[in-house]
Amino acid sequence: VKPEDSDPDRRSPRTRSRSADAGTVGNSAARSFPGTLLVSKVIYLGLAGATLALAAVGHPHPGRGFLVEFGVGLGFVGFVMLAFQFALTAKFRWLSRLVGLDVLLHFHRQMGFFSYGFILLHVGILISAQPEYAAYLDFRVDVPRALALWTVLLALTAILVTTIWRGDLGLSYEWWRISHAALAALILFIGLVHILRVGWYIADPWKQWIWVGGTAAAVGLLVYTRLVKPLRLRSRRWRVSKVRPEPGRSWTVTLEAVDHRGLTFEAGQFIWLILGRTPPTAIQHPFSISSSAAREDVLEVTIKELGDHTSRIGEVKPGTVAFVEGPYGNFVLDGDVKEAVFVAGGVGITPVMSILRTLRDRGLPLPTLLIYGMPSLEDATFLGELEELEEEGSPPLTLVPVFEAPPQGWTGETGRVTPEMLERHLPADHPGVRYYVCGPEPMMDLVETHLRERGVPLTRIHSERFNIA
Amino acid sequence: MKHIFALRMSIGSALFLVVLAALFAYFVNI
Repeated sequence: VKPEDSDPDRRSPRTRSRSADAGTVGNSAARSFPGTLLVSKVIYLGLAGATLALAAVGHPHPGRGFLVEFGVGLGFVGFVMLAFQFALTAKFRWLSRLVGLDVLLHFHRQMGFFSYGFILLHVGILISAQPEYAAYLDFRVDVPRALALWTVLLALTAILVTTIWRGDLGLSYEWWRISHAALAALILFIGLVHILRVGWYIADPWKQWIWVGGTAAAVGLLVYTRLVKPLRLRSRRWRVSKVRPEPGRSWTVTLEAVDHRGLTFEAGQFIWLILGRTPPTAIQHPFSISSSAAREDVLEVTIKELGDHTSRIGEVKPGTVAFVEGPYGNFVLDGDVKEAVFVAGGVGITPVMSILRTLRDRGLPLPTLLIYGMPSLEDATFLGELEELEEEGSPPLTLVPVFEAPPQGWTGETGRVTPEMLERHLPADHPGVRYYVCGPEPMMDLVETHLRERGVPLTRIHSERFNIA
Repeated sequence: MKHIFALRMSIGSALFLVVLAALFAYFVNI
């Protein structure tokens, strides 16, 4: 038995058994989405509350006034938020399957901003309530302490600035990732030392051990995500077997498993791909799988040249070694899906293609509608295969191509996807309809808003945003 | 929509945590 076989994340019996049962297409696990989200929130907020309760329990000193204690409370909460940032980016597959990695990373980003604000408020409130606290930042009072605390404030600012203005600063994605992790670990370490050295609420040794243990767990997650998991990937090599051009300045890269059975995934999910390097490496990028989930030993990703690292994808040579981390994401057929509506734009077609190919290969007769927006016929990735699928009728597919610049003689939909266009094609809504939206941000916002206005609950709308990285 | 959902979730969480910090300050002072 390979070590991976004992990994509960990697096993997916649901996917394997699905082909045997054409009656149920979807995966019932996704139905627990709101419940699981609630549990995750309770854990997050509960732990933050618990740290404050922990500070207050058995504390011998009287309070130092509301403002001072409020400032202290914000410091504690800010620290816990920072520690949780490590868990949010640990790329837990089960969490990504339920909530979506894009939502988790958006949440991570927002909570990062808020924790920065909390730490600044911690400093600002304490100094304005009790000016003598300014001594903590005064080099004349205590050089190592002032140096450490200024380092934290500068490191927090650096993380914020490099995240918001990474492009403007000319910082590569790889160096941003490395500096982000290193600065975060440094901040957490100094933060912990600060809490222990101030020691006002953490004087008891048992409390100190809880704080040290909690911080170690957060840093441990970082080590696990960036080192242990990548090292485990090494035993599962893939090889690029083909790189073929597609319309729309896109390339399909075919990967073959080398001496292992491949990757069990659900159609519509994505992977982090490492090309031509051995993990651990910061140079890995998320791509949707475009091939059928019926084949686990061969994976295809279709990548559009977008001017960044993707612009050299066509130069990748067959035989190049590759590693695949994943699968991730919840852009999959879920629950009691009886009818699927896809709205895709441009390269957003890739996960949809995987779902349609899987339905075809498994012979699942799920009625599907695909509204597919493309700039022009020249950019129409997969259009030929989609037309064939529609003609064959397995799965029953209604294809609505939308050309921004239509070819001569085109009588179908043109321009961009609009609410009126959606109204012309969308089927009557019922609890069995699932909506899948993947494409450029404005299109996704428009479609999601329109679906919400039609009264479709968020739990039946799946979307995948590629700007997660 | 889902990024707005994530934003709402983070604003809600942050507000909740501010309230917690305020409650903490209140209770250690009584």
